[in-house]
Formats: sequence, structure tokens, C-alpha cells
Amino acid sequence: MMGADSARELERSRARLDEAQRIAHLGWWEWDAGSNVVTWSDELHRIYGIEPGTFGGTFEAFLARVYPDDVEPTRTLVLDTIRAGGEFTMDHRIVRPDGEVRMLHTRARTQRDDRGVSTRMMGTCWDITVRWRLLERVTLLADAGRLLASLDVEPALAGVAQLIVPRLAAACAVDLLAGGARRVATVVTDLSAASRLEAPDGVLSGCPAIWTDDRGSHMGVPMVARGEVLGVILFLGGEGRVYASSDLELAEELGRRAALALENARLYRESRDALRVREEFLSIAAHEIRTPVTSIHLAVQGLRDGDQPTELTRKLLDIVEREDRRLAQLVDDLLDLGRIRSGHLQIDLTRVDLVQVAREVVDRLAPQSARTGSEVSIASDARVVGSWDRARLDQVVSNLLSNAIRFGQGKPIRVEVRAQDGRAVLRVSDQGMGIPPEDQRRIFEPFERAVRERTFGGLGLGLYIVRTIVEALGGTVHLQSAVGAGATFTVELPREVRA
Amino acid sequence: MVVDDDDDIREAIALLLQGAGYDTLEARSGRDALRKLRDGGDVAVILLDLRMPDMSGTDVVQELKGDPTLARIPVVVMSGDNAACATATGLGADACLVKPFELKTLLATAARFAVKGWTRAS
Repeated sequence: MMGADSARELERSRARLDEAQRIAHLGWWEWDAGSNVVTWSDELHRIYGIEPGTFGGTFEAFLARVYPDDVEPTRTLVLDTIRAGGEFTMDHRIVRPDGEVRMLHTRARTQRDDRGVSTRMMGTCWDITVRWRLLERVTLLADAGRLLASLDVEPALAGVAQLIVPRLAAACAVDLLAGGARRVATVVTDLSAASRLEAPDGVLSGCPAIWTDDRGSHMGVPMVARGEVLGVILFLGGEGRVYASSDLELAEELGRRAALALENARLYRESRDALRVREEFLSIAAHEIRTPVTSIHLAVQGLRDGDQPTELTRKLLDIVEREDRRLAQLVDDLLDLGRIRSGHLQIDLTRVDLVQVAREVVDRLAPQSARTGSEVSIASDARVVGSWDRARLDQVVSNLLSNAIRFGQGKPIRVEVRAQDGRAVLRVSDQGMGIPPEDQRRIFEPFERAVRERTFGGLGLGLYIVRTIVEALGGTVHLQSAVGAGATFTVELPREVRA
Repeated sequence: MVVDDDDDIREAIALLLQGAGYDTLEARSGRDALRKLRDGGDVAVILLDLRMPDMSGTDVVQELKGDPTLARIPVVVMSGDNAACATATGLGADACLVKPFELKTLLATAARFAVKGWTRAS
């Protein structure tokens, strides 16, 4: 028999235990397997949302309160454990009388008698709903984010709708407004549920909303980018789900991410289209300019070669001819710049002898070098052949040689073409004004890098184009120069271009 | 024969060829050229601009090479860009002049295919 002190001690001890459980939201239960009697603590009743003492007291009464999809796994795990003995840990959902779904973290241990027969199971349940919802939310956003990283937006939106149902809704629809409203995705758990999901005007104007009608609780969020409503996402809660503001926050976040993806895809498309339009325009413009330049060119050459023009006439004609060559060069540079920028520099590979190309360029630029007084000499192997683009190589040699002539101050210029260790080496050296060290890297950049004196004449693109062509052929270009000591440009190319 | 919708360049080329001793025939479009050729125009070589409105140069090349009575006439195409040249050569053009070209290049090309002072057969 217990004394009064012991009884009070026991009472106090029980009270402390109850209080501890209440503070921790930890429920306790015990199952007498033999008699199938289940006892729940008061806190566990509170977790299940029922009055203390109203729990049915059997294993079946417990299962009746478990969330439908989780009933089988729970039943199986408990029965297996009671049979085999031991412990288990499990997360499962329950449904409260008001329909709210909670997530419980349950741990239990079996007790056996001396003969090894399981007699009792005791366990604790911890309501982890808040943490679970947070994890669900983060996972949903992360998964949606991964899908929305694609530039192929409509399939991505359909994928996001698949993520939303049934985690966040019984039915989901995504509508896009551009070019006339259309529905790009619909996902439903039950076909009757959602064919009439409609966006209210408020959502269409950019205001997220929760509302209820005879089919249940709904949410609608706009997808807004740069102040424009690109579309909406609609949710139907379905059986037992009532949306709260935390759900709306999650939906809004999804809407924001979807809008960003839509905007990115649109910007990408627009910039690609703009580039294509510009490329086409440049191509047409270039041709249009080349035709009159050809007319002028031919006419001038005809006049000059004709009946004994006077000295003055011949000189004026020379000027006209030089100028239309410059015009043609400017047009080519512009066209090349456009192509380089959009990544479309054309390279046609054939067997080319670099020595021959160099000789042709030297011949062609002979009038220019004669005018400045620079004597141009070529030193080369007999032939240096490789798989290159002839016209582009011509451009490289021309650009380098015409620079040498322009800045060579009338002093000799040397062009060297050799084969060396399986590569082709082209060297153009002048003895003119030279290039200061701080400019040496910049001159290979296109004009917007603020090139100074080197830009006189032309658009300042020559060396940029040289570098781009050389790199496209798999080679390198280097500069060696000092102020007042001339400049040497060295181009090295592999004999075969790897595609 | 010189075929180009641009009047100035067509005239410039024709004048310069005449100055060098050749006889020339001019056409301002693909259709005009084909009509003149079929009407009994007998030419040693056709200089053809590729970029023309209405019927393009490449269409003209195709039609010329597809017509047994005209296919034997050499065709030299003129264009501002290498790619178009390559296409035309693929269709049967015999040579290509890339604009802008030099007078001496034009004369050298004419010399390859035609003879000076040659006149139309009556």
C-alpha cells in the first residue's frame, strides 16, 4: 500500500511528465497487443485535435485518423515491428476532425515477455508539421527553380504545374497572356475538378488572391516581370484544403520565378532576332555599296589607262581610285565586325600557299609603299602550304602590311614567311614610330577600347580582325615593339585547322 | 553580254570592254537577257550580276544551263560575296568576279572566253 507521501510524490511526478510533454508537444501512447487496447496521453489527444478521453482506444481507431495515403505503410510497419520485436521510427500524416493535415514524427519500442512474445508497444509522437511544411516549400521552390532554368519555357511551366499537383493543389492551370490569352498547362488529380478554373480580373491586373466558391478554396497569382502581367497561375485546393496566407506566399514566389523565366526566354528570343535582322541588313548594305564602288573603280581605271591623261588628271584619278578602295575596305571591315559580333565569321578552308598570298599582297600594296618610300622585301621558304581560308589570310597580310606602310616612316619593311616546327610563321616588321607598351594589348581590341593614334584612317578594326581571323584558324599573333624602334608582328598558324 | 539591273555598272563594263575591242550586248534583267539570247543573240560569254530584283542571277544560271541551246555559253557571275559565288559555280557558272574587281581582272576574264572584234553571226 502506498503511503500519502508516496502518493503525492507520484502525483507530482505525473504532473511534471504531463507538463513536459505539453511543452514539447510530445504525445505518448501505449499499445497492449494482447488485448488490443491503445492508451493515449492527453497531449497526444491535443495533437490529434480531439478532447482528452475521446480517442477510441484501439489500433483501428488510431488508423482511422491516419491520412489515407499513409495508412497502409503505417499499418505494415507497426505490425512487422510487433511481430519481430524491436523499434521503429516513422513520419506519417494524420487528419484532424476539422480536416487539417498534420505531420507526426513517431518513435516506438516493443516490449517482450520472458518467452519472447511481444506484449506491449510504447511510443512517442512529435508534431513536426511546421518544419515539414517549410521543407516542402523549400523543396517545391528548388524543384520549380530547376525546371524554370530552361529557355524552353512552356514545357517548364507544365512541369511546374505537375509539381504543384497534388502537393499544393488538387488542380492547377497556367495561362499566358501574350498574343491573346491561352492556357499552356492544366494538371488535375480528378478530371471533374478543374476545367472551369478562371482567373478573376484582380489577378489578371496583377493582384494575388485567395477566394472560395462552391468548388472550394482557390488561389490565383500573377506572373509579373517589369511591371507587365505575363500570365497567371491558378490553384484549386480540393477536398479538405483551405488556403491560408502562407500558401499564398508560396504561390506568389512560384509566380515570381515563373515570370523571370518567361522574361528571360523572351529577351533571349528578341536579341537573337535582332542579331539576325542586323546581319541580314549588313549583308545587303555591303552588297549595295560594293556595286557603285565597282563602277567608280572601273571608270577611274579606264580613264587612267586611256588616251594620255594629263599629269594633273592622272593624279586626281589616283586619288579617286585610292578613296574608293578605302571605301570598299571600310565596308568589308563593317561587315566583318557584324559577323564577328554575331559569331558568324565565315571561314572556307582550301589548300593555300601563304608565300603566294604574301607576294600578291606586297604587289597589290606596291603603289602605297612607293608613295611613302618604304622598300618592302620578302624573305621566305619556297612554299608554305596549309589548310586555310585564302581570302582571310589575304586580309591578315594586307592589314599588317598596310599598317607597316602607314607607320613605317618611309623606312624599309620586311615580310617573312617560313615553315617552322610544323607551323607557318608570318612576320611583318617595320622600322617606324613603334608602339608604346601600354597600347600594345589594346590595339588588338575593337574600336570601343579607345585606341588613340593608331586609329588614324579606317575604323580602328584592322588588328582586331587580324586577331579574330588568326584565332579562328587556331593560331596566335604577337607584337614586339618599342617607341622609335619599329614594330614586328608575328603570326603563327597551324598547317591544319582543327574544326 | 552584260546583264545587270544597275545601269551605271552595266554601262561602265560595256564601255570598257568596247574600249578594249570587244562587241557587247546589254540586258537589264534576267528575263531581258534570256529573251535576247533566244531571239538569236549569239554571244561568246555572259557576264551576269547575281543580285537582281525579279529574277535572281542564280535563277538565270539555272535556266541557262537547263536549256540545251544556251547551256554551252560560258557564264561569268559577278557578286559582292563569296558564298553566292560558290553557289553559282555549283550550278554551272564558269567563273566568278568578286566586287569590287579591278579593270585588269575584268579584261583578263573577257580574254579567257571571247575574241576581240568578233561580231554576231547574221
